[in-house]
Amino acid sequence: MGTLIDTLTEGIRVITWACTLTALVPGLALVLVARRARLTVALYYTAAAAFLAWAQAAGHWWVAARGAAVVIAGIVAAGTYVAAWRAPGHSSPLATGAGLVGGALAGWLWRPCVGDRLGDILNDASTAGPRTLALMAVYMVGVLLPLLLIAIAPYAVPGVGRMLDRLPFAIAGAAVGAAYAVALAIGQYDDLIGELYRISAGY
Amino acid sequence: MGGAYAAPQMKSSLSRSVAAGVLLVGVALIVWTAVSGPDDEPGITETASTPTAATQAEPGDALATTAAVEAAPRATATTAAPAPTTTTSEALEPIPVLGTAFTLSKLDGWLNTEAMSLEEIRADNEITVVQFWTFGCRNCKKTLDALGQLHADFRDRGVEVVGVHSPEFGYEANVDNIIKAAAELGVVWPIALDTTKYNFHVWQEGPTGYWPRVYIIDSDNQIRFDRRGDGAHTYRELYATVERLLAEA
Repeated sequence: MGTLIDTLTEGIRVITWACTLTALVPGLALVLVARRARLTVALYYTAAAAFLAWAQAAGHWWVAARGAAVVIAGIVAAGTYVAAWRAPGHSSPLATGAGLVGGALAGWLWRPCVGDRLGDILNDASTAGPRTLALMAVYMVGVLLPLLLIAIAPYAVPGVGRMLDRLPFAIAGAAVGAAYAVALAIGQYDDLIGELYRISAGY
Repeated sequence: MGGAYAAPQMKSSLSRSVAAGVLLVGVALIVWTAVSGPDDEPGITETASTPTAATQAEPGDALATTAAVEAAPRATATTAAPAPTTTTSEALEPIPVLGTAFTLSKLDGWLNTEAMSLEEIRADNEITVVQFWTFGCRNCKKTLDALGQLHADFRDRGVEVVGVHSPEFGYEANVDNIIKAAAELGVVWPIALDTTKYNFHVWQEGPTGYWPRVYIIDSDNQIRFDRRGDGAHTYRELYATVERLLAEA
């Protein structure tokens, strides 16, 4: 139990770090765009991001995020935002697909800040598969907690749902999503995040 | 579009209560984590102090035993732990050979050394500790005290630390920034400038490389230790493994 809590809190602790924002910001944008299927998109996004991040560490995924693959990723990322926007409801394949593909992209492109617990997960991923996959999922819940909370908030406080349903929120999500897709496609995504981080770090 | 979002489907008070509970717990976790402050784990200090004590301990000293047990591969440490204190070193598994180390090539240069290659550094030392890091990486920074301690304790015993600086972001590739950061962070050991991350990707096979990642290279150019992350236990194991390899040399 202690390991689970420590893993979760380590994920939460790095929410605002640049390395985490690379996974969190696209997910937040996707959830804002998916007005009729936020929770579905958020859950599948988190699960897929955890799985891809784990699969890379465990040696089950060998496609490097470089070159033409990243250009294709940018185009696919744009598609996930269109799918999320058009998803008619929670049971829609568009919602499931947007969450799964968007999360998989995030997990694939993620360059994590490797702390104590995540280091253990990555070190043991190839020898202790199920255990490390479960721990990676817990870690990813911590990392992506803001988007999960935004997705669940309308069910707890309907007023939040009505607010998030307003067009400006969806447009803001779509704008971030478009910037993400374009930055990926032209190979500038890391530089964009790096510049934000440089400014915040004072270099 | 109106009324299309799914909240109305979950209007039951139970659903709303569950959602509210999850929301509250989530927000509380974020607040609690933020209030509890950054994770500047005491482990770094621990890492620095515990192995030092182990180094100076008499045979059979509990600290020495702990460090030695931790130096064993993780899968066997549990088995080794209950062994009688005086025979612990005999019960330890051999330190595994994990493969042959790569060289460092296509570098932009070196800092803090007159050496021009990893081979030069290896030729002058029994053991070389190679860490992939970048100065903007917070987890890397958390390991520097432990590496500094290791460097200070073992540099006269044939151990050298090499920091392979592989920038994650553009500003970390600027040499002036690296020099400034190294001075501020107290990095006095050799730094290899891997600006293009060529070595970062060669050493770390697979689609993703990680910061920090630390290796021990022995005198036969074999990798004897390979760990990712900034864990205090990782750097305790690193220290203890260096000690064991020196003892075996």
